[in-house]
Amino acid sequence: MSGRSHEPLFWSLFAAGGVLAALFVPVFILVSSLLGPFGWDWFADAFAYEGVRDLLEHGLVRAAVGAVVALIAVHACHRLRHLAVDLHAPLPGTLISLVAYGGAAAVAVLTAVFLALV
Amino acid sequence: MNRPLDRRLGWTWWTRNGSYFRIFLREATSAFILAEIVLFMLLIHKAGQDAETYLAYRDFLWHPLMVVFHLVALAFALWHTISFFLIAPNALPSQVAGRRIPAAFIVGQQFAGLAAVTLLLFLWVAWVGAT
Repeated sequence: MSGRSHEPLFWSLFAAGGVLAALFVPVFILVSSLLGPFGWDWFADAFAYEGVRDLLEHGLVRAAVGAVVALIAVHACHRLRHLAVDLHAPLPGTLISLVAYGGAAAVAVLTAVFLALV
Repeated sequence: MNRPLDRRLGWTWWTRNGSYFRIFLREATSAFILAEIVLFMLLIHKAGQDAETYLAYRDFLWHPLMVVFHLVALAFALWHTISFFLIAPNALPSQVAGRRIPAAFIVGQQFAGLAAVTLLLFLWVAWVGAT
């Protein structure tokens, strides 16, 4: 193994994203995608057009959403990369890494752009 | 860290026994989490466009088949939460300022944090929706 590796950097981002995913993803799925369709009007209204724009109105909320989404994306892609390697995907390791971290970077950048455009 | 599994195990190692399968499920939670994150990213994208475009996307997101998907994703997300919290004591330093931190304390703190975050987000979204 070479003396230097980028693994520690990715691992610390992975761990931070893992904590954020553990804390935020279950309640996020619940309020955004389940309570509304199951007929709870408060949540249907919160995700009406005006409601969702109110939710994302404050700059601090947008900054937090952007950071949380970016770190969770890094977490998920890092895990999927390791899973692909462990399942012996017949692809070069560098290609798997490129797709995984490139995908995470794309989600992070696009989310930041979309947040700026709301 | 980057060492791949023994190739002689083949790619079906996760079907061999229960503990392998649990590891596989734990890692596979990330596919559902990534899917929900991408759906959320698109929701933000649509929120920046006109009401009609946004509502068409939201109707897709709330379609009964998608609701089934969200339920499955929620189960995987909770599996991620529980498994991630339970392995945290192994990843964190077990002593702070010379005193041992009990694993149960670390795990308990995390579930307390989960309860707080869940309650706050729930109340915030409900409040925005109700007003």
